[in-house]
Amino acid sequence: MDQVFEGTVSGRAQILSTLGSLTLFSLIIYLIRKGKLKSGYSILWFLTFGAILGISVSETALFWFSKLIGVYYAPSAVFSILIVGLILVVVHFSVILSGLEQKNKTLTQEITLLKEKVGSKVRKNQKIKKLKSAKN
Amino acid sequence: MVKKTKVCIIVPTFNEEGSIKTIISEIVKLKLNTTLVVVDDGSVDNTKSILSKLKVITTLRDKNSKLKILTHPFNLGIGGAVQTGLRYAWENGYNVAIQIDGDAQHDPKYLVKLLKGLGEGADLVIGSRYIKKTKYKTPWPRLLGIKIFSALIFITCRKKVYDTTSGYRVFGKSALELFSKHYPQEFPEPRSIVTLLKNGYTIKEIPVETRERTTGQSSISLFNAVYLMFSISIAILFESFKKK
Repeated sequence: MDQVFEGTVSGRAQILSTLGSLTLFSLIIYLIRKGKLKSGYSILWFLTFGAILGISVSETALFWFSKLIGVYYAPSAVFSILIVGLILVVVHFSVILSGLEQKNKTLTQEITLLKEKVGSKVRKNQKIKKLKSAKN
Repeated sequence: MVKKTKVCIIVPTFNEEGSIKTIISEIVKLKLNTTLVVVDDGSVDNTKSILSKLKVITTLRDKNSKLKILTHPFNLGIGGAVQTGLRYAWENGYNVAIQIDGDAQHDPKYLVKLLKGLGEGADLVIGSRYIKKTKYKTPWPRLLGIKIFSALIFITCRKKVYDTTSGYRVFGKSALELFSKHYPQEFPEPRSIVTLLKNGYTIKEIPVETRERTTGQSSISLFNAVYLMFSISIAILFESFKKK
């Protein structure tokens, strides 16, 4: 049985969606150029906005994609891409955060152990100095 | 040639101004030939100044005092604090480490007994509150949690461990080496038990009497007991899937 894929995207919605994704695309590029965002963290954003831009520009692409993922109301496909993209970005950041927390812990412990090492060396030196001055 | 056993006692502490002096004095009084490492996990009360005074007093009494104080610049949690102590022990050539919480609930008089347990071939010896009936009354939500963790550990590792959250433990050389490198930051006691059992290490429990907390506040309040029970159960299950 042929499935019926419904829904049309109005011209205004198409223009807004295209402009929106282009703006966000430009924002990511701007942040990378300014050095405020590492390019490694931008891949998922580019993929998400690229996909949204692709199906916003071409209605054929939108219907093809809706059919592919089995979404009957075509404009919902845009939201599906956005939701999946955002979930992937959040998971990616959770992984990065966990790594940073681990590094933070190791660094804190390293500082603590070094402080103790330096402290005991300083105390040892002070003792030697005291002994030397007492001898003199 | 028999290699000499070098023992390091680790006391993790966080905001324990009311009990830290007691526990340190009790350990020092035992006159064991060990190094005592107190890890102050970023306390914001008077713990830090009390520790500094204790350090001065013990050094004045004994020039070769082996009291070391390690201070975290901020709070890492019990797992991070214990691991700092374990790292210190491993990097300074100790082959046995003992963890005893800074809240003075554990009586240091059992230290020798626990060390003997290690000599009987265990990699980790737990000072257990539940292997024998003791006078200590555990609040029921906590006891329920401990029983659930015990059951989960039995299901995942096929080994009955009665006290899964005890902060009174002795690490043998291999466990010390392992945990100085990888030690769980969250819910470390039950998770480290799973890590050891899953990797073929031996755990032994020895009954100890625990005292009621007289000062300070428990890091686990009744309010978040349910949340913790759920989180720790999930953590135990995940830990059992992990590789060494």
